[in-house]
Amino acid sequence: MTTLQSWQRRLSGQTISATATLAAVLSILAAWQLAVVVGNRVPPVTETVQRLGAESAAGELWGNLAISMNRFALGLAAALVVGAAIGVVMGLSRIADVALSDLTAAALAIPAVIWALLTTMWFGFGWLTPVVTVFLSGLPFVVVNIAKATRAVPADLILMARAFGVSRTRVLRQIVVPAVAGSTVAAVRFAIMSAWNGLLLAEWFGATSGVGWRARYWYDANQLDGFLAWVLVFILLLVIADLLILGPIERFATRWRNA
Amino acid sequence: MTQTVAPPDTLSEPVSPRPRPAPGTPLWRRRWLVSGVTLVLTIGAWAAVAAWVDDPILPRPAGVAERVVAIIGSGEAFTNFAASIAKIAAGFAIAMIGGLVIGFVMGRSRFMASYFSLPLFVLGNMPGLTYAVFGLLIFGVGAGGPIVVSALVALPFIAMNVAEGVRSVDGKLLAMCQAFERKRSDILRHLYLPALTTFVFAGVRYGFAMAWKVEALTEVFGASNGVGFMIRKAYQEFQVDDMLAWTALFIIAMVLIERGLAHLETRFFAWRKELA
Amino acid sequence: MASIEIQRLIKEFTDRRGAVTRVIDDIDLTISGETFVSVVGPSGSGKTTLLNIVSGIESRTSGSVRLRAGARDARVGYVFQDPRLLPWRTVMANLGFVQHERAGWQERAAHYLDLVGLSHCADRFPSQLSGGQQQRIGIARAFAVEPDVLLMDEPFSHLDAMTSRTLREHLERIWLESRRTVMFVTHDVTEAVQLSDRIVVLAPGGRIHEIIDVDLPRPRRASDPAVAVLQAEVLARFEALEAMGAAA
Repeated sequence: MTTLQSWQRRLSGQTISATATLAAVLSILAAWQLAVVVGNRVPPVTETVQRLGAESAAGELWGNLAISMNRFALGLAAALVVGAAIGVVMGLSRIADVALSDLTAAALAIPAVIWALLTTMWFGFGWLTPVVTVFLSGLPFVVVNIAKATRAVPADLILMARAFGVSRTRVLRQIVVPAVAGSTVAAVRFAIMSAWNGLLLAEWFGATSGVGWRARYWYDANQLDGFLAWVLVFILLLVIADLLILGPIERFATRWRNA
Repeated sequence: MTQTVAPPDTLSEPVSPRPRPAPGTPLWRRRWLVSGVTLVLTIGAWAAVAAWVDDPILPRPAGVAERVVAIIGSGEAFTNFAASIAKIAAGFAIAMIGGLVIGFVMGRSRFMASYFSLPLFVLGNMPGLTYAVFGLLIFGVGAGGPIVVSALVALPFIAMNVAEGVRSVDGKLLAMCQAFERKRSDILRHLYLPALTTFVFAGVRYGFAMAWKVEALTEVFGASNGVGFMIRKAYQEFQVDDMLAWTALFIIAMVLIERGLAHLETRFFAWRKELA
Repeated sequence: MASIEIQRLIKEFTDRRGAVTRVIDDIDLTISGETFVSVVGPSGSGKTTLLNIVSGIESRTSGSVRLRAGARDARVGYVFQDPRLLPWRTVMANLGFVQHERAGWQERAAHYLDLVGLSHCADRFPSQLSGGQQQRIGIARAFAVEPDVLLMDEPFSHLDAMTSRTLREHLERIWLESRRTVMFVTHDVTEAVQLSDRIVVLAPGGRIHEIIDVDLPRPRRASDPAVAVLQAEVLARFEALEAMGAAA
């Protein structure tokens, strides 16, 4: 295939996906409007967006977002550090792997709501509740994926490099890092998804600030447009974080596989 | 002996055969031993912390174990798990139908694949909280919410796996069928079905793991029976030992079902393992 | 002048129960100058272990190995049984990687890539190439570092007969163009006769059984009767050795 042909193919592919995605968004909005008409007290798109604007004007949008992000970042960082340590050990040592894998499977199975409820009971309405929930929700995913990443280190390629006298630093940068990049990004992606879920639940049940709390505020007040406005915020954050940032990063890290 | 300079970067350890467990010990017993010891140690640590805290807010493992036995004995475990699993099964049935249709369409048309990718992404990654609250809002307290939520969470995984399966059907085999003028239904049966079953199964496995948790969460918010409902009840009554007991049962059930599905997959689809 | 000097080399493996197996048993061997030396032997004769020790991948129990090029340490090129290319870098980048990207690496890479007939693949990823092509890249890579000493571990054993034959021709051609000290391990005696100047035959247990000189003119064609005759002779001696080992 000539360069021109492959360019044409890529461009038409991108046009198709852009059009299709636009069509999808329009369909969703149309379905929403249908639900307004058919359903019972479903707030229409315009009101929801207006409410979002009002929240922003009142400072509630960015204030709560910042608070939640802080808690999220703290808990996630802890999960990444601890999880990476455990994962590396499990990847390197057969015994550690056998010893901890059932425990990890059990931890993966625990629904985040349990953590949210337990921490609310134990730590009350402070910052500890959401942070610990985020940590516990994300940890098992980091462990599993980092263990996978560690096992993905290609011993044969490292031997090859050493046979040619390549230095340890270069081996690390040019062999180990690319080999584990895919699984490492996957670790971060899954951890973020699960941790975000945990954060929202923890803030719903046991917080007095943050995005989860604010959504509950509207729900409790029976103001569904406010609640929906915040749901939009959740979804938007999700789309931005995973679809637009992490997804492309993971594809970049593993692009050589599909060359 | 003169140790002269070898070529750069001599690795110190020899390449020797990997250590194997001593002959005579069946491998499966060894695995359970190591895993079991870790479990015992973890529970021991839990007991120690619980003893130190000495408050019903952190029950001892013995207390939780007692509750587990009581819950199973009284039949509550069975009824509630049956209720939850029934809801998930119903949700899955819906997801299968929807997933097969959407996935098939996605596999055959690039436009459709792009069209559905954003909605499926949102459905698959929506925070559980949103699902649970919507379930409650739309369906009120009852089975409707959990069933629909299970369906929506599982749908993207099944659809995407079906799409992969459809795409994996060899274009040349398809052309061969058309050249021999096989009927459409024959093509569906003999070409697509075998390719699909592997992928669908993978989708079911992963979808189940995700749906289980969101379904339980939805029950916490709005149900009158089921595992999630019992957990919520325990929470409201400040019975932490009950909460932990139901959680333990939930974990065991989920791990068992997961392992069961993995086992089934190996047995029936080993011949296609390289595709799954 | 480059050389591989092996003196009184011994390699023993100790398993978990403490049993000691001697894989290399007191080998003295010197390979120097622009010679192509094959090391053959039945399985269990330690030939791959010998190569690994020479290259530094494995450690030795006692004895010494020196790879020298005049007064300095020799630069080593290595060809493995499997290509071992970095899958995330292009062919060209792979050839640069082992040269530590030192001055002039692109020219060298391009030159040797051309010699194996794969210039058009320079910007492809290894996964886009066939097994035979990848192995040819592996050979080009080893030559591109312009090593004083070239170590090759059964490089064609995983390829089909036709590809192996073609690659042997490529190898001999490159070697004739830039002669180096080569230590080539193979289980295929006929291949050893076709390629080498000397054949070192190892006996089971890791001792040198004999060293055979191959005086045939180059370049050698597999269809040449003289080559065939020598191959038959060496093969006969090899089979006798295997029988001895089986009886032992």
